[in-house]
Amino acid sequence: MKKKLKRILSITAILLLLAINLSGFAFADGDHHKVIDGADLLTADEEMLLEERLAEIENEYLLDAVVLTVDDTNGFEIEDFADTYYEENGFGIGEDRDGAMLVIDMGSRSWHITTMGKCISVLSDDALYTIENAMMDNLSNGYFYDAFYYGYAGNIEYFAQYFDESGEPYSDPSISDQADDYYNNGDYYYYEYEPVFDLWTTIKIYLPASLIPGFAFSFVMAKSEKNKLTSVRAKKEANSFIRRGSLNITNDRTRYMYSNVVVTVKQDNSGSGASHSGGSHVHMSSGGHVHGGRGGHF
Amino acid sequence: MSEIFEYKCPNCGGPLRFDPSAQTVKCPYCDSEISVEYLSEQDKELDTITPEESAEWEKADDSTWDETEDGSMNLYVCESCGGEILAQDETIATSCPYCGNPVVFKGNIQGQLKPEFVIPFKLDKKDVKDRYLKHLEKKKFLPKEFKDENKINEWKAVYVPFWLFDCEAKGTVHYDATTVTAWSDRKHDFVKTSHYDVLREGTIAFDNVPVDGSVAIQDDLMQSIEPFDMNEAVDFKTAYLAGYLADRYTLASEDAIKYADARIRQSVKEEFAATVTGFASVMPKSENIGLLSGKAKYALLPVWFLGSTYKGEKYTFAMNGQTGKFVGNLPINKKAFWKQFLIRGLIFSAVIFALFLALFAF
Repeated sequence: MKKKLKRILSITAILLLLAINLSGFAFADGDHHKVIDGADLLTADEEMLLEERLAEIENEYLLDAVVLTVDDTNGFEIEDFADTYYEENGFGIGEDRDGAMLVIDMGSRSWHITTMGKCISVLSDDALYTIENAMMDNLSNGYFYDAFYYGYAGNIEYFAQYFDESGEPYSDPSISDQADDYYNNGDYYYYEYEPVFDLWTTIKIYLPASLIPGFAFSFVMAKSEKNKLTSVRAKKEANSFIRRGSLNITNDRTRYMYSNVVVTVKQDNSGSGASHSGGSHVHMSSGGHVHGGRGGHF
Repeated sequence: MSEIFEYKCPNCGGPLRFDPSAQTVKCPYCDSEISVEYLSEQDKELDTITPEESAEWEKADDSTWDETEDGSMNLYVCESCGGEILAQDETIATSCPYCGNPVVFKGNIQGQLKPEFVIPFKLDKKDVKDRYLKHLEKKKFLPKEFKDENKINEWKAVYVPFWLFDCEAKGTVHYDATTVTAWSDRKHDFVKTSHYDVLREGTIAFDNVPVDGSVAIQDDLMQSIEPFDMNEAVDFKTAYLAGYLADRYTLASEDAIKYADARIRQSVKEEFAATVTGFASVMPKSENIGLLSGKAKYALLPVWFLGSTYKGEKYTFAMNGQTGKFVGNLPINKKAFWKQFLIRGLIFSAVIFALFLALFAF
């Protein structure tokens, strides 16, 4: 009797695990397919390569980057559609659901990228604008793999690395104005990234920053004390033997020769409209969560 | 060879010495003070050359200068004790190694340029000791044992021969000087650099630029105890040498001039450059400096020398016998240096780091 029970239990357990895996039940940890090609824009090989790249990004930068293609959005606005799809399918890493999803709707020929959690800052307004420019030609001409692999995934990797290394979101003042234009219609809020006070990062940066001037100062002081021990020095001049008041300048003409002017073009940092750069515009999804994002047509 | 001159006290016959605190010649036995003038009468026979003569730079050679080689020695007999004194040609004054009597070799003075001036010693052995100890004070990285273990094995009061040069320097210097102005409009930043040719032409007079006339004595040591106050210089009388060591010069004035020349030129450059003001940058383009109406004077200046040994190394100290300026390089306790550097460095770094953290808190 006991043996049979054990057997039944173990088989049930195995079946359950199998079912869970096969159903693609998404945990909120990115353990799912990252390429959902509903509109069949990619070949099987292209899908596999893209999946690999997006998985690498997750491993390296702990964010869930996804690509979804559909033939229509069931009547929803693409922004709303993207936000909801992302939320309801449990995408994103960690409790903040860090990640981004690119949606392509072939029916209306529109695209949208939605971001959540850390990705809102990693993919700043300027970053999203850069991705749009990178993808646009390829999307319009039907080279979807190139658009997704290089324009989307490639740039996400770039911006994620930038954010990790510099501790700040990507910003490019020369495009901030154009990037901002998109958010003029609609309920968007501007969010500026504030780094969390991290003791370890602080120590990493400020410890050498204090050691260098600290020891430089100490060295200067010690050197001056050491110099007191040397009192024998050759004299290069005879200033103490100048007869007082004997300096007589008989000719002190100053003649202008030539001049040159160096002109530098100013870096237009402030711009006419935008007074900021490096931040991200966010909005509330219908599900009540904060998303960043950008979209358009191709 | 009655070329030794020993000053004997007219009162008791004892050996006379020049006393720096009294600034006269005194007899240490009967305390009589003898006027320098009285003694100078005895010098009359030394006046083979008129005192005012000095070597003009235009003169190539002084015909009366005795061209003996360095290093040749002469034998003298001390008139007090009969001991034999072996002395080099350069020596003018010394003490008999047997009886300690001060002696002046007038023969070595004869036949060469007589010193024009002498600054008599103002400070004596006690002063030297005091200043030596003061020299060791407040020296942070001096090894602690130096004060006790440094053996001073030589105290010498020497009249060092110097060439003193007077001249007028004439210079013509061209500078490339710039002024910088900056302004902006809405789209551009402008920086305008204007170049000027600035001329400075003029003269400066120099008095008594000293050059150490003894090849054996370190030049930088003598330069470090400058300056001497020439106002206290007096006409040379051999009486002042009594009780002190003195050498005649081994560097001819024609050879010494190049050292003074270099220093004078440098001073002219510095003084002229200091008059060029109001520019963003000043660079000398061409410098033309000449020395005119030069005069060379030969003088004996008072210097105290201390020779010492510490841990097998020789340390030499010198003190200006008139002003008391005391110089001499001291050894460095390297361990103490690096220890201070490390400790202070850590403290400063900690303070700066704390400031950074405080910045973050607000």
